[in-house]
Amino acid sequence: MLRIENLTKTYSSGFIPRRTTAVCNLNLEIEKGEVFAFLGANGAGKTTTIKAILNIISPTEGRIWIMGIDNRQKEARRKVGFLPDQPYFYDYLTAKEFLFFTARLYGMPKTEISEKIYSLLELVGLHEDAYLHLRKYSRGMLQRLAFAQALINDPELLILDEPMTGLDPLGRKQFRDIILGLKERKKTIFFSSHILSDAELIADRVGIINKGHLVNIGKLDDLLETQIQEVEITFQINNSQLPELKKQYPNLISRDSKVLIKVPSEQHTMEVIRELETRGGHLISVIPHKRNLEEIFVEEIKRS
Amino acid sequence: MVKSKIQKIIWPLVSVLFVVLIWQAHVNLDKIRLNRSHQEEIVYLPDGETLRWASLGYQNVVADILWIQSVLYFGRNILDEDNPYYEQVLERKKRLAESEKDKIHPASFQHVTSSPNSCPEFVFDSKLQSLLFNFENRGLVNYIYPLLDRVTTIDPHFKYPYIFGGMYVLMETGEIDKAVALLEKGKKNNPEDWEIPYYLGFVYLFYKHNLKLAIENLKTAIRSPQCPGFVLNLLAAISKKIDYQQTLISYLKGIANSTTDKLLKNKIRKTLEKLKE
Amino acid sequence: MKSFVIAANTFRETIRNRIMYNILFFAIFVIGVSLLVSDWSIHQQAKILKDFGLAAMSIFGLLIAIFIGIRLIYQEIEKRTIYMLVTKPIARWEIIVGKYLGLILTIAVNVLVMSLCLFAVDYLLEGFVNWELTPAILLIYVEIMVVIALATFFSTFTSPMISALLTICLFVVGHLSPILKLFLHTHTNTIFKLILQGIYYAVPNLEYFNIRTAVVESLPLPHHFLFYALFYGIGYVGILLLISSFIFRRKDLK
Repeated sequence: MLRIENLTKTYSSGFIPRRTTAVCNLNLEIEKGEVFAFLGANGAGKTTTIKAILNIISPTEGRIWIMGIDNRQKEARRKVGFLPDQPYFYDYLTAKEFLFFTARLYGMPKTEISEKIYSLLELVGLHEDAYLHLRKYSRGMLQRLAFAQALINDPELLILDEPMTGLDPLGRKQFRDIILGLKERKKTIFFSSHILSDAELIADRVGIINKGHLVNIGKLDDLLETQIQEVEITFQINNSQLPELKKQYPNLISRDSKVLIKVPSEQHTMEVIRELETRGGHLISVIPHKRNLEEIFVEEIKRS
Repeated sequence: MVKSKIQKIIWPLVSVLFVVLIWQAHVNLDKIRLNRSHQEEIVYLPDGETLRWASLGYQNVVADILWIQSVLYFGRNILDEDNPYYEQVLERKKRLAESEKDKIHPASFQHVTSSPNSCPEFVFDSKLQSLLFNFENRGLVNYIYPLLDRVTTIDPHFKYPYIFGGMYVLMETGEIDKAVALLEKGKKNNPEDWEIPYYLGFVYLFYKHNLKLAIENLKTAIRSPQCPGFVLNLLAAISKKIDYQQTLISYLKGIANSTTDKLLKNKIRKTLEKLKE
Repeated sequence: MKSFVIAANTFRETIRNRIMYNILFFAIFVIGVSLLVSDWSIHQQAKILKDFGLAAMSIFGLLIAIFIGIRLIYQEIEKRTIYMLVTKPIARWEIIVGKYLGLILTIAVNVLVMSLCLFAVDYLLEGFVNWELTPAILLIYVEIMVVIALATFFSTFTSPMISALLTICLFVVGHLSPILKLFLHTHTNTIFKLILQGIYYAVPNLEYFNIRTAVVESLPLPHHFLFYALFYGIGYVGILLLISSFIFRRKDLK
């Protein structure tokens, strides 16, 4: 569906040209029907990558293919929908005029367009404000319209740049539902974000980019599972055992007669349980702690 | 509270003060301008060719603007009871007469004696001379010809300035050579035209007393496809040396009928009436 | 073709621009001028009316052309609305051509209305419609087309201020082309001569579009002059749009 090969983008700016590398040697392949989350801190290179995919900027090196077509050809974009991070629309048009214009740019025949516009506006909840000029729209309304225009050509590939920014919780929920609906219809979705919790809820695969390099990529489940799991073991034990236990497990936390020990892996769990039982403690609970995406993310950033 | 009350008075007061300042300055500046000679503005005009290029494609309009200026300049500075600046012009005239007391006016008809081209006697008739040679406005409109020269350089096909300078201004100031130069320029720039050679013929015959050139120009006029019939008759009459009084009347009538300009038309009509007396 | 979609939208955008009220000023100006010289002979009144009318049409048209033309592409890039065009299945050159077509269509409407106004006042003055003015008006429009192409060209890579300056400079040089030719004959310094020659052939000779004198004075126009002038204009428009498209194609949009 989308293939990025060796994408590198360097900018040279200033009187004495100084090179800054926004993206370096990025390789990525997105399969049809998957929801891919492209995560990174601000300035990591997410938007640059998206701009390169959509031919807004041209790569310094590397090639990109959309549905097998070189992205520099205009045909590549026929079945692509784009949701920009900000609504960059003509404010002198009404929503209807704007969608009509967009549809015509996709080459949709005039006969199909009106129906499509109506159904889309209903979908995003703007059918009542269809005849208002866009300059009168609120931020939320523009966001919804942006989504409508991204879907107008019934795209196979949707590219969304920070789509949840600025949406209220209800909006985010609606958005997630629409994405999941599209996923059911076998649409491919590529989105960038720094709101990791949302990514966790809808993404199949995740890629983490930092300072222009793709540092980690994989199925969400795999990513979360391969990480070291912490296990929290809670025991009830006599306070007299505490000083010795503390020497053995320095990160021990105790309150009343309860003791909490965090162990780095499942292996250690059995050892600790045995140890504590030997000392006369009663096992209260064993909770395996799966790292969430945020922790993985921060770790990756720190590592690089 | 008191502060805002004072403010309510001060703002309008200050505004009124400024308005009065501007008004007074304007009135006084106007007076100063009126006394100053207008000629100075014209002296600083670049020459025709430069103006032509500086027009950047808008030659017609620049020529028109200069043309309007010429006419206004002329109207402002001639001795004519209808002229609102009559008093001032009269003043200037007096001052000029004082300074030029000892100079000889070259074009006064006293200098017209027999011409080498065997001009008819009639041309030297004193009544005729007094009609054609009105030197009242001599020296009052010195910049008219430079202005007209510029207009015609910027837009060489604009016919009327040639005729205005060649006929009307000539009759008011007597600058024969300048008038002839302007008309010749007009003839050169508009070879297909009949009117300019027609006027040239008139000027050569009755002012320069050069029969040969007069006939040559009438012949040129006739060659033009738009030339009206009466010019042919006129040429015949001059060539056969028949009834020159009638010749003059015919010539003048021709001008009066063919010109569309009101100024010239009126002038010629008045001249014709005086002739009949 | 996709360009027409963009042209239609650009037309919609520019015709709503308040600067289009210039037509009103034109009408007032033309009527005012004719009243100013109402004491003079009809022939002269007509000449002055036509001269000023055509000149005003040209100047107003050019001013709008420059004022809107320099922002045409620049504004899209600055406001990022260009994203909505560039990310569609449309080539970059189609965007440039589309925006250009939209603007010249707007100017065409403008010139048309001004022409009708001029014809109307002329009719009231002279009693008949002076259709002879049409070739001059057509070439005024072609000149405007060339200037818009220049402005569009600059708009693809520089700010409005500099675009305006450069466009106006080229307008002046374009009208001084005949003098350049004169200089070519007089200067002996070969390097300077080469530079001058370069400028003379590169910069469009805008004087070719000036047949106002001929038309107002009813002088005969050489055969086929109109066609050659048209081709000249269209040729320059073509080249300028081509270069603009080339620049725009390679441009990284921020």
